[in-house]
Amino acid sequence: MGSIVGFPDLDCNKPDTMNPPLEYHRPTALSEACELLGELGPEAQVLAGGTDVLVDLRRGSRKPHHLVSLSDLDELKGIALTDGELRIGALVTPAGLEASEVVRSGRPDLLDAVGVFGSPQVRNRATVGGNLCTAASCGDLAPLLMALGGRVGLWGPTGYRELSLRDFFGDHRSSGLAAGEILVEVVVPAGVRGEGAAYRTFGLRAENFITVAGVAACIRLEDGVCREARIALGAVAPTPVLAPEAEARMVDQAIDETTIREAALAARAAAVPISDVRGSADHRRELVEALCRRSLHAALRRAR
Amino acid sequence: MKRLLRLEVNGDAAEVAVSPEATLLEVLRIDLGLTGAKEGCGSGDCGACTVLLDGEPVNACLVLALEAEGRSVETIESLVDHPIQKAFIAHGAIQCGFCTPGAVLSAKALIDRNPRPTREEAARAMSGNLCRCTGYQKILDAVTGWDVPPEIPDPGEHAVVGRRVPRIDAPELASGTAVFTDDIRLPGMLFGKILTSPHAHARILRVDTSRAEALDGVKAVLTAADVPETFYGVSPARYDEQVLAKDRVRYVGDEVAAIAAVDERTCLEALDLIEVEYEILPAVFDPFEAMKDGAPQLHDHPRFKNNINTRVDWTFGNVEAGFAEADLVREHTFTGNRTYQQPMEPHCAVARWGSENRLTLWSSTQVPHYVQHQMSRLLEIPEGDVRVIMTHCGGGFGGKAEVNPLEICGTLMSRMTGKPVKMRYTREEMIRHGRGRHKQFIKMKIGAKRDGTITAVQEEAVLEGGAYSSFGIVAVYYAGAMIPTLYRLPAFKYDGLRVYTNLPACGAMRGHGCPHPRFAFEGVLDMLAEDIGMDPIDLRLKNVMKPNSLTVNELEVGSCEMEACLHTVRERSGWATKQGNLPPGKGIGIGCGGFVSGAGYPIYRSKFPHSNAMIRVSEDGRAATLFTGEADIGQGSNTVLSQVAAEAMGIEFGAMRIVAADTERTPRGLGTYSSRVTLMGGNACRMAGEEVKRQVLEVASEVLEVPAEELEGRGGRVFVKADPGQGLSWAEAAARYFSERGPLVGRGWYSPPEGLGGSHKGSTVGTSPAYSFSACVAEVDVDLETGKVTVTKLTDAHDVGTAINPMAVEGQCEGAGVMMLSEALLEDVVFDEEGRIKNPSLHDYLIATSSDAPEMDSTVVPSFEPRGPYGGKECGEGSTLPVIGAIANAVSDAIGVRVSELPITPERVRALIREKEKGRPEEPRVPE
Repeated sequence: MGSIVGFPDLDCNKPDTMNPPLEYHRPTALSEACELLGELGPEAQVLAGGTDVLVDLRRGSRKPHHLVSLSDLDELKGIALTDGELRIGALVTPAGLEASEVVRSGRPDLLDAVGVFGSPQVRNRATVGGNLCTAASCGDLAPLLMALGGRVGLWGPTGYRELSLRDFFGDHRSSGLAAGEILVEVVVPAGVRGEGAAYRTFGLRAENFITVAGVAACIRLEDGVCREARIALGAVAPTPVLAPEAEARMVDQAIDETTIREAALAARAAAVPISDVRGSADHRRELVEALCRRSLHAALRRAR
Repeated sequence: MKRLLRLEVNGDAAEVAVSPEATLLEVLRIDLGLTGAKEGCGSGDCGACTVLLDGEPVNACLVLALEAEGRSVETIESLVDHPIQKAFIAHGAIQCGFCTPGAVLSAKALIDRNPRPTREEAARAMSGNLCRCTGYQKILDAVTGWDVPPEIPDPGEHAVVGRRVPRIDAPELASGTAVFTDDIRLPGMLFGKILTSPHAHARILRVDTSRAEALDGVKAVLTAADVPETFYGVSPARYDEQVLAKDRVRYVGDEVAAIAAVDERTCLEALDLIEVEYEILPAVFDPFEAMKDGAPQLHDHPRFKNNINTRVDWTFGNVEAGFAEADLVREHTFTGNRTYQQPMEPHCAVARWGSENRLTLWSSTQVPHYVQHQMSRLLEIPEGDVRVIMTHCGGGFGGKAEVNPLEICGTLMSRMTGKPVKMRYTREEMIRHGRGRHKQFIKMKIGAKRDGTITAVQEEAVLEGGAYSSFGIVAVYYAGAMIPTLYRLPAFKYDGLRVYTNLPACGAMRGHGCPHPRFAFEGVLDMLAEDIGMDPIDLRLKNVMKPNSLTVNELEVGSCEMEACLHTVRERSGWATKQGNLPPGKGIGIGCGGFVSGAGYPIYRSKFPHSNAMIRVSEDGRAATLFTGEADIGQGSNTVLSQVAAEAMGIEFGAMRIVAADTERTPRGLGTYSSRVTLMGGNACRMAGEEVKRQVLEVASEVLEVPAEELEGRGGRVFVKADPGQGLSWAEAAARYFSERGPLVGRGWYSPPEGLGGSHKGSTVGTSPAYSFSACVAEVDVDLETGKVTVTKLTDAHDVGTAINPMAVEGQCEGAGVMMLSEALLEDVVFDEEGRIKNPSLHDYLIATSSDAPEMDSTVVPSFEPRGPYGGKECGEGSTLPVIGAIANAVSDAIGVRVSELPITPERVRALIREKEKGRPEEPRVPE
């Protein structure tokens, strides 16, 4: 890199490029992958579907020296329903979720997030694990998985551990992965009686968009009274976040239009969005309110 | 270190040594030579590189090549005469064809798992394959009707003209074998890249390229010191660009230096090694700020004082009296948006400087001749030593209508190295290079009598121009010149300013200068209609342009079926029952448009014919090759011109071959801009065809012993008019001609009528042999809570004269509808406070997908233009012009507030709604 006077650090002056030298690794077992990550340290980048990583490599915003591909790890590709929980392998694609009978019968509301996930080509290539590890606040899976009380399963030098999704997301674009750890699965409780969940999102065009704001809600009713509520917001904070104040408006209430409106207002207040080319912070706050209402209405319909 | 990749490609085992960072797309295109997959963005946003990985569509640019180990890849090359390819061809789903291979593969994957997709399912499945040409209608027709051949109605009066023939090159495009510039690979070819300015305005103090030159693989380095000092540009009156910035850069992206090297990666490394020392200067981004005394000046020449690049000051008729006579006067201000053409193919050029000191330049351009002309000027060599070959071109929309830095720098570096040099823009680089639509700030004032008769119009427009002139001088004239063409205006005053700013230059974009003023005019018309209490369509009919009129600014309107267009859309949209009767959140609106059928005057002063054609009939008389200099950038002109030539000769369309847009092989054509090719190229081709026919009839006359005047040639036969049974095959007569008289050739040319236009300054702009007309009704749903606008239906009607190929005309109209919908709702190039583009990608600069395309009902109204070939005139740009106005008027109807700023984003809609509701408690609708 030359010393360039008066040359700020700008992406825009560097034509798209990858950053050689780069080494490619393709472990065939999870333990091998973790060892490799441990050895290579922070210069290593895990590669799952690659739909984010390749864009970043081209742009120069990630410059790893090593790529560790997970594509030979077949143990990360399954979906199973065991003990009332859905275990979704990290390498499952959105298209795979959509096609899965287990998902369609056990947790069909997940498809709300799958349906708005990127383009058809991206849905064939992106992965559940990759989407969560990228930890973009506009990722479409996280809010719904959070609302469903989902956890992530991590495998690393110290073995297997689970984290709730809310604890998984750290700062903007960083996840709760420790050094050498790999996200291996997502665990979601299967639906129970009286429970309904939904995800409503807003994009600037009809398909193939980045979410400008998204709200996921999951509620459980008993005799018409809301006993549990989780409301998660996407694209309106540095990470996907829960909105406990909004949840509190719902719990132990008989749900009517007023409760929903109050919860939506609380969700709006919980949003801390930024302004960018997709929309201003003000507009995003408005969207959160509208989407929260819509999401709660849909969840309510499903719960009944 | 390269690794061995083993995979299956199109059923065969393949082994390739690949670099770890290589994408599947690079391996397919470069190592395996499978160039059917196209690179449109490199970031998974456009879908042009779609291939099937184990049967599922993926973006090959987002798959690391080594990840395809052991997997099966299918590219477009694996499909041969597949039903979905045939459907794309037959339904007219292919225009430029750049997105076609990817779209065909997505469609194949869909019908493999769902043979009967609904239109909605098809739209969703195709939503990752962006197309800028077709408006998706015919793609969805092909996908949902892949096993149902479309109906082919009888063309009527003519044998070939009026027939819905597929594009002459559709099979090549559908199979991925058509060669686009980036598909070219020449022996020893180098690659080039350009270093651009990171500053919006700066003085260059020092450029040191020594470290770059020392890098392995670098073969040439170019700075301002190595390039001609000649200024160039579009209009000779405003040549203000230099090949590389000499002492100053004027926008983020201004070209500073260039590198040629053995591959692109080396170029990029070398660019990083060039040291440039800048002294940053104050920059100005707002045209109103730029005009103030004391603002930073972009160009030192005194003629550009206050950064005013071009000033127009027109008055026609008695404007003062007109407004005095008016019962009502409405004035409103409007703001347009800076949009970018976004053709699916990024610009690319391959230059080869020959040992004989002649240049061959392959380019993805709309204007081979103007490129030839500028290269000849810059290199100071005769035009005959510059051969510009237009390859297949993946769309232009005006963005490729001028010589570009790739063509120039590539040529100079080829001359330095003696090797061919390929240069291409990434999506980001092309957006940064600019030349998109000018953002216009418009004040529009219309006066009218109580019965709706317009008495006077006054327009003021300020165009944000960017750092250089490009086509801006023309744009600012067009912004006024076309206003008086749709309605009869007794008086018109126009003040236009095109202003330099430290942003990428704006240029010519489909509808050139007119969409924003048209949006403004149609908006004020609706406001007037409301003031008067008149139906908006009635108001338009009251003032509608009539055939054979001279406009107030002295433009000659010949054929004009504007009135029929208005009646058609009124009836077909169900206007009467909907207008004024829709619930909140639903709206309907009307807009009108129209455009020139070719500029009456060329870009630089010249006397030669604007369009020229030659035809050579094959020696056996069974085929004819049309040589035309005109450029098919996807609009279908090669097909239309071939139809005209076939009709004129009297042969079948299937006998036509075409060689186009090669300045050494084809006679000059000015290229694709100002919607000129159908009329001008068509007239030249008709003349050439008629010359061939005359000669064939002469020979036939000798054989049949019937005077030539009593013979006719049509559909491949020559026969006696009075006794059609008596005759011979056209081929036989043509073969006999060759045997007896040598090559059978025809020549044709076309120049617009002399003396078009008035004598005022700038009177050449807006002149044309003929004008198109169009009307559009838009219906919208507005989500009042989020502000999101969904266009549910466009009902449009067009006077394009004779539709020489109705399928191609529909394709233009549908494409125009969706492109303008996209511009109206989604598109805007946004800058930060340093003049850097915030959305230089198809990820952040969104264009409409197949799922955004509304239902469309397009009608071509009966019309005949005496100056056009078989009555034909333009449709590619006129069809864009009613759309923004129609949508804006429909949204205004839906929300009850006037929309006056583009794009009509959800956020702006919400702001308008809030403004309206101010003082009243918000009453949200019941959701869902």
